[in-house]
Amino acid sequence: MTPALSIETRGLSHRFGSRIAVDSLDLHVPSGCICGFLGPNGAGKTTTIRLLLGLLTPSAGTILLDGKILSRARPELRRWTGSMVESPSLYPHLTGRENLEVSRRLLDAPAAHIDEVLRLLQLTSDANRLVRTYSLGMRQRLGLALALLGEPKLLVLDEPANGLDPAGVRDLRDLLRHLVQQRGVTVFLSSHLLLEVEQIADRIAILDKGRLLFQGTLDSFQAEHGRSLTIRVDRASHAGRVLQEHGWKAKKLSEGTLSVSILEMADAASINAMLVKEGISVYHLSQEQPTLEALFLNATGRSKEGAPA
Amino acid sequence: MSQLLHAFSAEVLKLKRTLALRLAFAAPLLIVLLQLGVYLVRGEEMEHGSANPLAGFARGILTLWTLIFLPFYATLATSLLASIDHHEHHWDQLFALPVRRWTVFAAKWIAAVSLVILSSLTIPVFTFCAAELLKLVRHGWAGVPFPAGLLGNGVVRSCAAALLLISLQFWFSLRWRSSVISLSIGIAGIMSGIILITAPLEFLSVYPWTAPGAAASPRQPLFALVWGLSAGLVLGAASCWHLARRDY
Repeated sequence: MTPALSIETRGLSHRFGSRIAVDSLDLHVPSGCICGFLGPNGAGKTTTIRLLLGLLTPSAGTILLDGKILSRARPELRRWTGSMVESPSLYPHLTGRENLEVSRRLLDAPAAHIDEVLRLLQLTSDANRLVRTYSLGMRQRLGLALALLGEPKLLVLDEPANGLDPAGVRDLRDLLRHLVQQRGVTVFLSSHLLLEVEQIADRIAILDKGRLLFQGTLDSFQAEHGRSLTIRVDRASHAGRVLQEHGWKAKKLSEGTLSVSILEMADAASINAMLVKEGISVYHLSQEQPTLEALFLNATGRSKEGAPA
Repeated sequence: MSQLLHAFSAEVLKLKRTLALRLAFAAPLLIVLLQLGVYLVRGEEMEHGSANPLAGFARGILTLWTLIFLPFYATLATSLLASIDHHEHHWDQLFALPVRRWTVFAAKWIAAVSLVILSSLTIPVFTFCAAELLKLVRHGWAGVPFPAGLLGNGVVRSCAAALLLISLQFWFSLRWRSSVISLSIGIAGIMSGIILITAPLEFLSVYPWTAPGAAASPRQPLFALVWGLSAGLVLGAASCWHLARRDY
């Protein structure tokens, strides 16, 4: 049975004049997961988020939230969604509580929700202070409190860890986990903090130049893009040429050391046999499990680790 | 309708501790204090030949208010109201909420109109206080009736005629993020209105920045009131419609 999707886009595109910001995006985010939305600067992440929130009108394609087509005439989908786009939008001349009260009035939510989100974000003691006196981390937490005020089932967050110290990042991670596990919330968050995404996301979607490079679980991404073999040989340049002639993608990491992308462990044995047959001495051979960051840089073509052999 | 009420209530809260709200009281107070100062220094000259010296006192305040301060306050209030949400780009946050966009702008327009009405209503109050002070200084003025009708009529007429000016400035303030544009247009409108003060009353009744003054002038042209009110309502509705359709 296909899992229910909180977010689904079909051929979603958006243009700013002649520039394509989002190109034929088919995004699938199952309900009840944390999905990390990754991409280099200018990849189209914020544009996609603004499209998902109905803040921009798509040039083409369809957006479905909770299986329903999003349009400006569907305010119930906005009630179902909580969001924080880029930096939190706060009124500095009002207190934290008053900022929440502005949104509460617009949402027509019960007054008790304010105390609840203040407690959840550990802002109760600072609730009556003017926001202009808040630290960056407190502003970020208040932004999250605003996003949670309507008790949404889908939380769309753009760079939510910005401005948070390591303890704040840990608290954010715990909070998002709590929301997913206890309230069945789906979290869709964009981030450039790859380590953070690696630690909290169940799934990832990678965007580059407006196009979706990958979407799926972290495990499947690592399985698809992640296996590499590190080889130390006596003649690295020659070994690199031999590998490329046989269709392997090899990179020179350092003098005498190469990295080769492989699909399965059996490939390691084949490569070893081939190099030995070519008269190359193999000193070391090991499979590497690179970090998401290395994989991300590799997938988006921004890797600077080593030059082609 | 309930969404509009909620949105208006949110706008009222946003006004807390703002310059726009403080000026609603400060601007009328300033005019009344200026006029009071003039009457305290030159009162005898000012009352010369007047049946009711307080009528002249009130008429002076009303003229200053409707011709200069009301257009200036309307310009400033709409600009300050818009900047509350332009400042940290609140539009994404607001439009992601389950509220129709036009209600956000309609609530803001109502808030702008309310501020101008609130400010105008303080004119008779401050004038009454100043008149009581003058009576203490000028014993001959004891028993002179307070021109409540003159002030009330002038304030109501000028507020109605100011609707076009408020709607215009409202649109300029929200259409462009930079307050320089709306303030420049507003100041240019007020200054040109002062320069054109000797123009025929028919023209002053049509020109948005002089219509409040024309409507409250001694001849009280009905056209200024009807034009300002009806064109203001149409432009206000059109502004909300246009602003709601834009991408932010």
